[in-house]
Amino acid sequence: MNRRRKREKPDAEIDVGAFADIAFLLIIFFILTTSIMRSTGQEVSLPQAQTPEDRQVDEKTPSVNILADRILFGEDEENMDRVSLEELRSKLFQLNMHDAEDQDRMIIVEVAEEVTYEMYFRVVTLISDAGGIVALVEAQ
Amino acid sequence: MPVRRRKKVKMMLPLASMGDIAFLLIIFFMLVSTFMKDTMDYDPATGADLRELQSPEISVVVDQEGKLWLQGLEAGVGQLADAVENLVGQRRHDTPVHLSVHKDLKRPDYMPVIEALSEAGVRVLMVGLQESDS
Repeated sequence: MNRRRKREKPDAEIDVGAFADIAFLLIIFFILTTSIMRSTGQEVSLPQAQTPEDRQVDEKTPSVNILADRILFGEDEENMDRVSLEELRSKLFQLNMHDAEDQDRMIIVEVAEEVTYEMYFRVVTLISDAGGIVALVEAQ
Repeated sequence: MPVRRRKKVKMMLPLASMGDIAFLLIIFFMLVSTFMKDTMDYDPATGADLRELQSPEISVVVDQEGKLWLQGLEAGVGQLADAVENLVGQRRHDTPVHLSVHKDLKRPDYMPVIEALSEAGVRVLMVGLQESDS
């Protein structure tokens, strides 16, 4: 009787070379299309209210008027000083708002129609940096 | 003298682990990528003393045409407060909302958006570029 020949073991292996190629192509796609960017900015404290008209502000609340060509700052609407951004910064920091109660941190910000967001952003981030809460005023 | 034939050595590179690494990288990039649904063109405002902001959970953009985009989708200002409230749910006070506005827009374009976010009661992080010292 003939001895049976030992059956040769089949070489069972999945070719994963192409797999890796596809994967690396996908990686290249994601690297090219992803932009890992850290945003910079400022957290702005806004009064959180459903009915802003119910909020009362003290007459002595400091206010900032942003007009197209100038910025006014003062505690009295009749007597507001024209200030530069640097002057506004030092006046705001003099108010020591970081340790104050919420109602003493309010800064009324009035913005004229033609004021750009860039100017508004600069003033508002300055107020937040000084510890103030930006009180929004609706146009009358 | 008999000549011995040298046995052929079968060379094989184990590529399976390479594929594993590649797929891990793909998963990473898929998780960190956010695909813009449409085009939003805007130039951010610049400011001094800006800080690095934490990653946004909600992004609100007002582009150079004054169009409002919530999470990459065009939205209306009238529904913004409700839409943001629905997105944040109960975590409104600790959910950072990134607000990016085109720097040249005028008050009627950006103020209603800020008022709506104030109404929604979320943490507003205004996005801008740090002014260069030079």
